[in-house]
Amino acid sequence: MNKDPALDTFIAECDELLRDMEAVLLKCEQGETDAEAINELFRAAHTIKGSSGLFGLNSIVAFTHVVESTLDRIRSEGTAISAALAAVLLECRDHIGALVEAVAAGRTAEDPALGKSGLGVLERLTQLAGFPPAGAHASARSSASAPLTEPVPAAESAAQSDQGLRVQGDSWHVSVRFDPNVLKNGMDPLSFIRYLTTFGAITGLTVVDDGLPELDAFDPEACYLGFEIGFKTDANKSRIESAFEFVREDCTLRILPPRSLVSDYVALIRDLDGSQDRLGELLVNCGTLTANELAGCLQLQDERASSEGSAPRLGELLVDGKMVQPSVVAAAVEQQNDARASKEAKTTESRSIRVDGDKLDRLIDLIGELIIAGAATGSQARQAGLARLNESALHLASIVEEVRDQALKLRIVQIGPTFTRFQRVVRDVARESGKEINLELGGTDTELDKTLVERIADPLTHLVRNAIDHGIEKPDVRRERGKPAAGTVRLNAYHDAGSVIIEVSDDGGGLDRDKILQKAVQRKLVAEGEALSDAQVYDLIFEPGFSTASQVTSLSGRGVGMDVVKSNVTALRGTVEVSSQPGEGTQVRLRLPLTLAIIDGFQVGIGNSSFVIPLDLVEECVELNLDAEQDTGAPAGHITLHGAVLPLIRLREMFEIGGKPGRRESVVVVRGGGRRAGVVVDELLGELQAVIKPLSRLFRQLQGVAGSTILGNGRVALILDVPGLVERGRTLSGRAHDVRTASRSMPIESQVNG
Amino acid sequence: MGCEIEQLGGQIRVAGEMTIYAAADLKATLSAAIVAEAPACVFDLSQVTELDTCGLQFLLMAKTACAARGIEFGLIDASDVVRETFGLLHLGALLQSPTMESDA
Repeated sequence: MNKDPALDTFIAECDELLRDMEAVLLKCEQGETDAEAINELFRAAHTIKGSSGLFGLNSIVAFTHVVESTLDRIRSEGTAISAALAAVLLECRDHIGALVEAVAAGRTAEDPALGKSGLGVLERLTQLAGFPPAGAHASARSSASAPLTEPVPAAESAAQSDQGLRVQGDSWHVSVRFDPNVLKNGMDPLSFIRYLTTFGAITGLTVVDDGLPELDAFDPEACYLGFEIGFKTDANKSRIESAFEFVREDCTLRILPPRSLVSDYVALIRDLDGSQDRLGELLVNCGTLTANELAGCLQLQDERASSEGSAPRLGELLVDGKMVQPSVVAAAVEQQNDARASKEAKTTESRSIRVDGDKLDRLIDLIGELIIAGAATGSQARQAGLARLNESALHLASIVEEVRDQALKLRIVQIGPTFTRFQRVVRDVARESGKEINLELGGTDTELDKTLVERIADPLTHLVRNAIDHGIEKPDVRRERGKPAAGTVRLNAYHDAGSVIIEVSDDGGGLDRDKILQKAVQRKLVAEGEALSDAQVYDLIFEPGFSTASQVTSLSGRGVGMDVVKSNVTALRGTVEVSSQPGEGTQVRLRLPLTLAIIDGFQVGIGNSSFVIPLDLVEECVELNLDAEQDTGAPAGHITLHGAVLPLIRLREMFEIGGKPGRRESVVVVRGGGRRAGVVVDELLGELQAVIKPLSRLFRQLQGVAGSTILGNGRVALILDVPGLVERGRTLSGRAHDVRTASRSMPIESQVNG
Repeated sequence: MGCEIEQLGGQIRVAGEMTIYAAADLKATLSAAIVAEAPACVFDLSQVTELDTCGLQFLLMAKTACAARGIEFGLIDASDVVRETFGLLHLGALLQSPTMESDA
């Protein structure tokens, strides 16, 4: 089952267009509608229809066609899109989305249930739009009220639905352009055309000689010709292709089967260069027009030319004469305009390209290896003590660093589009729950790794749903409490110390501290009578098994799958925090790393082991001076730094590394989850770029370690999970059964060993 | 074998294989005819035994070149080979000339 890579592009393109449609429609629903909005919707529908046609996805074409024609008529009448119509169009959009999804999942056969629901949606659409249906289902026609518009003649509408999408005639269409070198290579294009006649009949042919230069510039041995051929045969496509086998490299060959979709021809015309002026012939040979129809047009053109003095463009006449589908001519005209718009447009078009995500990942992977190899080279060079080698190694390292930065930027995207998608989630959930919700977005231009964006979407959806479901009160309750009836959910993103913070906040009732605590005691998550800070209580909602949906509802609080949110975020090396003010609202704050692949690290040594601390989280390094610690009267396991008490984390004890600490220990002050802690180490080894190698499943449960990396000397160093470490620094003894550290005034050593 | 080209004022007679091997000569001849400011440029194709893409596109180019200079252009006495090729490419209309009609 080889999936066509072009199909992937098609699916990605559809996703994008559907997202655009959604954004526009949501605006329309809010009453922000203008001509540009309708244009945008039309263009999106039109493009989806056209591309689906290329892949022969008839169910999408048929459905989208109705949507497109409805939009077209709305546009031509200049009526605005009402909120109700926008809602139905949203349904249409969703249905197209479902159809595309089915294609993406490889289900090519038409799903009867999907088809039926599609008809239902279309019925609503055509009724609401007040237009007769465009032929897809005649039953709705009788019920359609038509005060807004004159009914479309039945014949035309039937033609649009039955044959409108397909060109009449039973000829293949072969379009071929030869490279200039083909003659010099000893090939004679004529012989291939002659060969065609051995297994079929040429029903129409145009020699495309637009490329022929003037006499002086004419190279007698270069080929300037192309051919548009109508071809009637029983043979299949590959047989026709095989006729051109010898010149496969030296020509551009396009073959359309009989009764192809109009959109196929549209694409063909778009593709062709230098044949704009031959639109007429092209259409004849496409089989779109019969020769008679073209002749009629040419005559008409002559008449007008003599009366007006200037020849109208053939394309206009063709449409005037209702001889071709407007879309075909539109494409041809578009191409003419494109040609005029010249290179400027072309360069902007080619400025962004779509790249397969896997290729990008492979590149990042290789750059990771490059950094490791570079680090090894660098340390070898240092050891060799050759100044010039060292110098060029350093130069190399700086370039590698730049390459890494650039490569990582390739994966960086803005979070805006992800946020915008929540407009829809909010709208739907608000409807379900009968609440009025406004969604506010902040920091939409905040950039982060694409993988992160993708993986954070689900937890975010969870949080947003929760905020609406359980956080925001019903309108009457809100009024009672003196709040505006419409609740507000706010999504915000910003950068903070090498992390990305994403906040989901609401102005609802806040978390109910007492109920959470009560539940936690019931579930034996905390001991009764234990004194907990607010933050510690709120954190309980992330405990696995803290609550299930039904219990949460009875709690009137949160917690639906909050543990899933937490584990998702933790898997991304992120943290979750929640804060809440009773009666005012709740904020959930996700802290995520900027990228998942490489970090700037600070290497430290304990005994023979090396560890890496993410550099962004390092605030400063100080010498550990126990006299000063005691002098200031800080509790044991803490030091006083700049007048504040700092808990110490002793890695030697935590990881049970043997040996005695050196005479001079250092403290690396780190920050994680908004708190600070001091990591006590033997040696400071300096900065390095660490390529993160995930730990195997076996070590997944290991606490305090985020991953591993390979050092320049080939040895493995563990990357410390700083937020995890800091978290431990303050974990309560009652809940923490693992290593406890400095948050309690007890000697660290006794805790570790005890 | 080969190709013989004769130019007499505005009349160019091509005999033999009108193919890529003759293409350079054909162009030179046409240039000469045009420089001679002949009122017409007529190709006598009665003796053409082979016509390939190169020969064909030369004739198409010649037609355009003549039109651009206001010189009358004609293809007369097309041999069977020429007629077959032009027919294949739906270019038969180019061959219409008094001589042709009398032949037919």
